[in-house]
Amino acid sequence: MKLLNSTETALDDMLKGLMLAQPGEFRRIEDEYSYALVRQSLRFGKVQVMVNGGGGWGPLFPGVVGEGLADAMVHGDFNCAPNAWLIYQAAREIEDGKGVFILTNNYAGDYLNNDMAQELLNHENIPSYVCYVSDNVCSARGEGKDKRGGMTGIGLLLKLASALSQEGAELEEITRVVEKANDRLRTIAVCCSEDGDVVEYGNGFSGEPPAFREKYRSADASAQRILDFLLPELEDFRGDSLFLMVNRMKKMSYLEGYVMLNALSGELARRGYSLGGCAVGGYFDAFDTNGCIVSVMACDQELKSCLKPVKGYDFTL
Amino acid sequence: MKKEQLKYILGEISRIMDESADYLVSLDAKFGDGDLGISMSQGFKKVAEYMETAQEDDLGKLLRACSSEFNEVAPSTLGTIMSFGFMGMAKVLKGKMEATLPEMAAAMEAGVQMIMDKAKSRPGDKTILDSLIPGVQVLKEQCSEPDVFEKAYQAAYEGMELTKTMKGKHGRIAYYGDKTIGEVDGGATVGMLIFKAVSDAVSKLTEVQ
Repeated sequence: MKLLNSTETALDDMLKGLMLAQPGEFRRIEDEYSYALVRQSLRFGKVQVMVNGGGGWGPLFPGVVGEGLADAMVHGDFNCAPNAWLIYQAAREIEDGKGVFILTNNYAGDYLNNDMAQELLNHENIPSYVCYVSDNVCSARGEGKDKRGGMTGIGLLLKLASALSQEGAELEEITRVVEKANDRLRTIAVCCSEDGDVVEYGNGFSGEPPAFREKYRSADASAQRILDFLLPELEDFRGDSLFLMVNRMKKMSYLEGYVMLNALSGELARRGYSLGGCAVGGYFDAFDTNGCIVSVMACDQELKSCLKPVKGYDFTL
Repeated sequence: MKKEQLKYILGEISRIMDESADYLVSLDAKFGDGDLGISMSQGFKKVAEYMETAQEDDLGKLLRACSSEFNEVAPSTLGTIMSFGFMGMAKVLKGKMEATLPEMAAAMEAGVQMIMDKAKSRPGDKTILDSLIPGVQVLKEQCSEPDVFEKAYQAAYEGMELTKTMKGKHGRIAYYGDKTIGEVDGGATVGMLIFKAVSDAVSKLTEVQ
């Protein structure tokens, strides 16, 4: 059971509540079928940063509009991409001559709608770049990274893009750095199965089956398994420190989140990696289960300098 | 073809998508997220409603508006693909109040090309293209035949049947790899239904004449 009036009205009701909780912070762009929030106190004269994707239960995407993160966000219905028109409309509203940097996860619906929105922006000569985040190591197995879907790593890239835009970086520069980060970012979902003590690795957002299942042993053992999935592709960046992000799923407790972070950090040290930063929170609530989504990003000096903690939200990122 | 016929055909497509919504949902539920039937019936309904009240006579402008109307209610993968299809057709028919059958076939071909460019998929990938392409091919090559629309529908139907032998490559279906062999593709079914609706609509329009 959920405390909603109906799933049809839930996303709209949530945004109304969010605006009540932070009066004067946001305005909405009305659309019957998708949802958009724009920051009221936009800083002008910089590249604006926007994020968009499917609607859902967590702060990503409605709860990331503000200082240090997004200037605007657009989301669709539950697990559905927003329509191109609203992405275009929101980009137009925030844009101030220096272009819009857009982040979305690399799913077909998101890709197509952002691509169409970009066609509309091009018509008006509004510069834009869309970064399609492809951090899920377990999607599109055996194919190139650019074929993979995105997961929670988009939060880290959003933080990077925002930091760069505030420093006055141009659209091309933000594109270069954020794409570099996307290239060095790996994520996996870990779900605790309801039936028996089974833990699953690599589930997808929409019920896609896991890559691997095993009997649950301990947080340390699961941390090893997680890093076995994430680290091999980051071998090229072995000298870099790693940023670690643990995203709690809907039914994971605060306590377990930090236990997992500690377990992962210990295992990283045993393997000779240094930790360049970390974050734990319920950023993205895509799975109605216990478990977590773990991201690692290999950070060179340039990336590290843009990854200061962002506070003042329902979470610290 | 003029605006009136286009309106009638889109109305017919909307009706058939509505009737088939449950079936499409059941197809999509196997490897997708089950919203295929709903997005198609909602998208075409919005387009049909728009056509009822549209003041425009330019076929290109009408189809361009259909593209954005469809996208607004149905931004799903296949919904957006459909919007790109309308957009591709619109570019060819821009400035035309009336189009001959070869012109319509060329517009549909441009629509299919736009879908291929944007979705980066090819025939044989187990998508809507596998029924649309054979259908458009018949319209293009046999447009002087009296029963060309019936034939185009047959070709689209056969194309859809062939997707049972194919392995899904795009979107969530790719997760399931070989398990998708043996199942008909939901998108290709939508393509077949479009040609069925066009064929039905044309025969009804001809009866009236």
